[in-house]
Amino acid sequence: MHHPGPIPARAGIGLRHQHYRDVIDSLPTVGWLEVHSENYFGGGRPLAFLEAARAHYPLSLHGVGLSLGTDGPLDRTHLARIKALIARLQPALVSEHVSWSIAGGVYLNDLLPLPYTEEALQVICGHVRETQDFVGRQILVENPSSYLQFVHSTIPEWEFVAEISRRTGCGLLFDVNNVYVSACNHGFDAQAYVEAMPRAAVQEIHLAGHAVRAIGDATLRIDDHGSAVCEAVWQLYAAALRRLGPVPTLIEWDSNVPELPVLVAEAITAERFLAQAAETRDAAAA
Amino acid sequence: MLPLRDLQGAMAASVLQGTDAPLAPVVRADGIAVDGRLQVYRNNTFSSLTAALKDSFPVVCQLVDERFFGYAAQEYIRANPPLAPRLAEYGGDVAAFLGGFEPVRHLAYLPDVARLEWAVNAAYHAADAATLDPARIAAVPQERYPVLTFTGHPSVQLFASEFPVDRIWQAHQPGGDLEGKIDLSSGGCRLLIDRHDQDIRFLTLDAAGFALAAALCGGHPLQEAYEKAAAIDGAFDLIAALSTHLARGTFADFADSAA
Repeated sequence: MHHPGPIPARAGIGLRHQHYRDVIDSLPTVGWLEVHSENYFGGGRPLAFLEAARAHYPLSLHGVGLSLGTDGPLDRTHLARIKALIARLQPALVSEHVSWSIAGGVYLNDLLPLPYTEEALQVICGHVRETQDFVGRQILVENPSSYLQFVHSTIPEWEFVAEISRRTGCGLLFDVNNVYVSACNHGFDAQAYVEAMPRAAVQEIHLAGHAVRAIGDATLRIDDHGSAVCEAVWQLYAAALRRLGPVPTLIEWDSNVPELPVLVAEAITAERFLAQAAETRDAAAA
Repeated sequence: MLPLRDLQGAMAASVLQGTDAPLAPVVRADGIAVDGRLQVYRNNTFSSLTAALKDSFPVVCQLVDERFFGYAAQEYIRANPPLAPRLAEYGGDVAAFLGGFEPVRHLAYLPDVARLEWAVNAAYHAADAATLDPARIAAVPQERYPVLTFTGHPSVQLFASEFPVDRIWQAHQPGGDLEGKIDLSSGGCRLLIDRHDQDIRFLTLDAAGFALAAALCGGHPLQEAYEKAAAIDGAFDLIAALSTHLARGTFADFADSAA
């Protein structure tokens, strides 16, 4: 089977089951697709739809269940299924998260925050190395969004994330919405986060919408991927592209999933930012 | 300092059981109470798992209404949290849970509807496989037929209920007829469920046909399977039944066990 790739410095969309038919029938003009790996472990109908779509687009596999940050053994069954899916779909990128989801054998189906300590750094770096060795290729890890901080954290999050890449050779998936959400929730400077990202390591960017929830007199921004990208996140994205140059960018939308054209329109907006970043880069090189 | 493993255990307990106190000393409040912050994670876990259960049990959800389903899902999640990060595999105990769930005790058919939805889910997610070409069976000498064994297609699920849950299920599909009344005492159903060209199919069987299909998919030789069916229906038409299964693609493969 023909497998388009690698991922171009264009905007892609997260392919969700609501859009299988529409994507295959209309083949929207987006640069690439990303899917959640776990949805295709069973094969069957989801995988058949994905393979039909995959024949037309470069693909990225984004895992949500490996739980790299859990202090305990990685699930080898899970790793084996990821490896088999990689062999079958030949994705251009494979990614996971700087977070944890499993404790005591129970899967919480959420991306929970780590304390930013040397102990946690060693745990997650060990698991990133183990994953890369097992699947035989580099993976990317994504910076998290969070709603709390631990009192014993000693390392700023941006240094923690960059250090994982430095120690393991993994790439980074820079989620601009997550940075914005966490910066608002915890009162840090989002721009400083952007400046701390090692340019060569960032191979993908994520954009999504988030919700604002009142909690008592305060507010928390909740990373629910349930709306359009907000203006402040577009501005932070522009700042990220000024530092990083054009990087493949994904629009994620996971709750209140809209009609496909709404998602494609978000991707087109991202492509305008990418085109500008490419011009700036070319002008600087000229 | 709380070791990472203990911190993660405490946070899982907070999410699933609501025990926030052990985390209070290690979480920065910063203007929002610690339990308010932890509540966000609780919401994430419960709402996303409830949505996953709703995806797998849409008919149960319609039958009890969405609010009650949300309540039942919460109780289920607390008692049976997922043990693997693969949500397509989550929900295998829902039928048993509903069978013992006091508030729905009066809905005797509900656990069977859940069981049917789980079978549909299993067929949907089963591995792909080619179906057995009937010409391969036609090429086998007839005297070998009694010892032939078959491998069911990976998507095949055999389902039986004393309630007409197949009609309940059909009525609650998009475009289904919700107006017509279904008499719960009008008899049960026996179904062979599978996936073909990515579509889920139901084949309704009688008791003898069901016994045959169950025996064949269970690896019993054709002669034995036939005897199970004939014990129920002395006039059972084996050729017709086998032709139906071969034409539909119930089997992925066969073996001539004595060859």
